[in-house]
Amino acid sequence: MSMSLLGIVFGIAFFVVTQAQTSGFEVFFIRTILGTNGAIRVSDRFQDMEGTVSKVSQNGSESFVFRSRENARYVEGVEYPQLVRVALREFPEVSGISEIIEGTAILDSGSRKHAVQIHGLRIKDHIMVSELQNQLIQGSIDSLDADRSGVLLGSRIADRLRLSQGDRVTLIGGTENQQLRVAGVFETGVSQIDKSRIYLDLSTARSIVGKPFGSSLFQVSIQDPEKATEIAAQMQETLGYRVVGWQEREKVWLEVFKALRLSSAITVSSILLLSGLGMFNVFAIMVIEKNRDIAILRSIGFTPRDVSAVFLWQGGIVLLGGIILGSAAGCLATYGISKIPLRIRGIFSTDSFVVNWELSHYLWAIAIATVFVGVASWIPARRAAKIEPAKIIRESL
Amino acid sequence: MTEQSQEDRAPLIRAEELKHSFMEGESPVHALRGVSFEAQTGDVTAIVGQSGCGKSTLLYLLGLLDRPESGEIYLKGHPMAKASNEERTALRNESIGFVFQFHFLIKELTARENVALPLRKSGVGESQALDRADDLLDQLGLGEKTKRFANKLSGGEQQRVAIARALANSPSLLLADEPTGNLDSANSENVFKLLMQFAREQEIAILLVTHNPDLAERCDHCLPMRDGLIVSPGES
Repeated sequence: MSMSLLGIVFGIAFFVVTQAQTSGFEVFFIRTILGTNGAIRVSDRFQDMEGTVSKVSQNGSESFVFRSRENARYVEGVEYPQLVRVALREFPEVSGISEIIEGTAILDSGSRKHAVQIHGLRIKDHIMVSELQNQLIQGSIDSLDADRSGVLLGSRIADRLRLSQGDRVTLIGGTENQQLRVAGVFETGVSQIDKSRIYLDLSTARSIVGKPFGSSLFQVSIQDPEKATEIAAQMQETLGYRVVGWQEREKVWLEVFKALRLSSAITVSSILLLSGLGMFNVFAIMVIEKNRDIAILRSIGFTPRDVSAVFLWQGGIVLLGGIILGSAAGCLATYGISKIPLRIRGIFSTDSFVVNWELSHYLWAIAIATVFVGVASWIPARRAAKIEPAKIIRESL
Repeated sequence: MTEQSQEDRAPLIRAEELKHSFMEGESPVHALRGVSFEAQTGDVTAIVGQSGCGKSTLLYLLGLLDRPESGEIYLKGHPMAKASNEERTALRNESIGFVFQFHFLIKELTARENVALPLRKSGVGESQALDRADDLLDQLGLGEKTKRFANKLSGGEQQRVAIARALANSPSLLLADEPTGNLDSANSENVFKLLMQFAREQEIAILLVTHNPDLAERCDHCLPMRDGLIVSPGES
């Protein structure tokens, strides 16, 4: 029985630790992408110019019909950004709107050149929809806001071109070149962004990209990012633009994390399953070995339910011990693992194991252990309750 | 007790035409083929007969551990054959005590804990149950050994603990299946005397299955059995 207890302790502890790790990386990834690319992005107009909502009169009453946008074709960019901004403000969940001009250019430091992706924006708007302020490793938001020729560079661009705050660079665009001053360096942790993206003022970006009107996209933040899919769908229907929430945008990575979390849960649950099987084995043998004692208990007035209760209580005590010790061990191990150094760069940036402290991990572990131990105790308990005392006593003589 | 009052007393237990069989391997054993008898409180009745004649089966039916295929058992005037399992279980706890040949104590428990089991089941508090167990064990001469584990006692002592357990809830019927069968003559005599003493003092009806003709002779009544039937004395 002590082996079963040990199995449950380890099972619960491992379950908690693996879930804390996998969901920790997932949560960290979501925080990174929300802080960089925002919760919702509005871009690309539908080719259908009639709008998404039609007014229909039927039997004297008027109603509004939403058209399906499946298989619709899109036209790149936001044509009337001012109107879109006004419309977006009407959504009560929206907490920030940032208009962005995108384009490509070559950044020339004088000694080296590097292809970059321009993000022209109003910095004060953009810090409302991103974590850019916290991602700055050199310079400040105010220095970019105060200087229209300022530029924020991704950390890997700065490393590659050996640039730091205050350095002069030339941005070679499709229509013109601009002399800019490095106002700061940011690091998102997403290597693809850090090695290609630069932020500069919206009007400066317009002249470099050669797009005096319109914009490429809107980055929108909302109060509850979990509702992004639902709100994005409402915005798409209302605005007639393609609106994508972060869940859809990062679907591939999110599914990878989900698969990892599920697979680790299944793997670790097998420890609990084995413990349950061990306990079942112990109880099953106990019922056979103790059938005479059970018969005696029945003969002195114990009911089948009383006999079952003996086994269920034993299972319950082992389970309770396993839950307390396992949860404590899981908690300690999670803390210990969060202190282990681990350098990750790519989809996010971290220098140690990222863990997520969540009650649901413990509840799931407890629920799985309860099911396995419950079944492992209940079947032998039921068998014990069915023992016919007269038969057992007769056979014992 | 006068002869008149003896006749007026309602029997504590009455069996009518009990028939019962069970499977032993593949073949059925017709253990009882129509047994009728009755027993009064305070009487010690011996059930004698050769092995396999149905003595133990009769005891298990009377002790409500099994149901007869046909016939009826009246305990304190109430029919038992069709009583619910809950009712029969409660009666086993409150009104019936069992003593078996091999005592059947729970070895992980002490003598007093074994004796306290039926009391705990009937809702008596732990300390009260253990006090009552100590009293009973003291009456049976085991006052010094109440805290010993059952398997640390001698055969005779274990059987006395089993008797104490059977008497714990002050039953009106005590069923003893060869309680002296596994004891030497001194211990047999001791156990038999205790049973007689309790039957008289506490007005308990005792049905005693035994192979010992001397003990059977000393009982108030004797029921000889053969091939699942009660027969006349001398026919068993």
